[in-house]
Amino acid sequence: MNEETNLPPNRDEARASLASIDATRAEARRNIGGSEFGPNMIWCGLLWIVIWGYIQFLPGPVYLLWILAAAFFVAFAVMKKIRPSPVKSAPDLRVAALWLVIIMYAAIFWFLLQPQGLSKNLPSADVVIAAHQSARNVVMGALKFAAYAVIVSLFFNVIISLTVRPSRFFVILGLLLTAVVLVGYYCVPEWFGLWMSVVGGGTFILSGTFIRKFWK
Amino acid sequence: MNEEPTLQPSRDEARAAIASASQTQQQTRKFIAGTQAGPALIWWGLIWVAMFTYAQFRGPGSNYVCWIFITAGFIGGALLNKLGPQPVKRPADWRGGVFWLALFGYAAIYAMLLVPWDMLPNQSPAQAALMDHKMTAYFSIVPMFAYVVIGLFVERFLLWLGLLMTGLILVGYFFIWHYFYLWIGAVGGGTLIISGLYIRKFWK
Repeated sequence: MNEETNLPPNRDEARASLASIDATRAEARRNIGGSEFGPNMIWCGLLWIVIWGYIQFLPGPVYLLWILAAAFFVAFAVMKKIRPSPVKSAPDLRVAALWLVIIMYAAIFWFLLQPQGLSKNLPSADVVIAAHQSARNVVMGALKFAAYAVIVSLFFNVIISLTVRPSRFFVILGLLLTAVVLVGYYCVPEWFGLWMSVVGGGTFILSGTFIRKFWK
Repeated sequence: MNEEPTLQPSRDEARAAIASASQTQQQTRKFIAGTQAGPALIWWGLIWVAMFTYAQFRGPGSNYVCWIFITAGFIGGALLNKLGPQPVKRPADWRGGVFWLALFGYAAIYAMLLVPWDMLPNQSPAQAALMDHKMTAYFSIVPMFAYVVIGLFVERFLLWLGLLMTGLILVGYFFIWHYFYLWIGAVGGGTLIISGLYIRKFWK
């Protein structure tokens, strides 16, 4: 027989293992607390508040939204230059590859699940297609795209928190924010922008503040 | 300045690092070959062949039979896991289960969000056929997406397998419209079976 007998650990060994796991977790949290994670999340929350607030209250030209986002990233970069992170980590190519893969598959999924092609040479579809092209549906289509893009980003965060930077906290945060997006999209579509701004942005800011305060 | 100079590794250090990486890869492959990954791929390949061959020649309104095949696939996969060698449990094992749950959960959310549900009741037969092709391609690509993600972090072979299968499914969707299901069954299922046999034979 080539099988090994699995001996259960005794009480002291089990206690030592649990203590070691606790110590590792505490150290990992301290590392995250001391890194740029917390401030980055607060910045991300502020960006959400501004951009979603803009979408809700000032549905103007899209280029203004890009200018707004660009201004935020410039401010973020300036802040990083003034206060560089004390811990520099080597860039992980797998993270970039994962982003690439997720965006590629998100585009394939969007193409496959959207109704394009359903209207070709199909007389019975005319009425339905016309209904789909109404003004309200154009707005809902934009909201759908926004919700989808945000959920794809959150999916990326969940996968990263399961693989590269294992953290139960960030897995739960990603799932919670996904639920927030879906609740807003289905329950308060007229106020989706405000919902995302306050609840989504607020969750980011609270999480960032929590990490800064309690994981040091 | 607060920057540290980057030292280039010597020729011997680089050689040692490459040898170590190669050894790790071989160990990972041996580990995978020792699990039920190979038989699971063969099993899912057989399910694909049977299910999509059936789908090609089925009559209208018999989609539920495909769900029987899928359920059989999951039950068979679970049995294979149960019958195979039981690995030592580690504290990080929860992540594997959560990964699959998250993947299928998000796939369901994408479908819920993007499928034009309000258009489905008024479909003509041609629209229904198009929607059927779309959903089949989508639900076949979702597990391939999982292979690609796992391949990024565990073993490159799965990355290439996932990308190849995705490509094959899309080729069938765009260019082999009338024999789409037969194509996925033969080429997709066949690729899964060959991959499983390859792992069983060459990674031990």
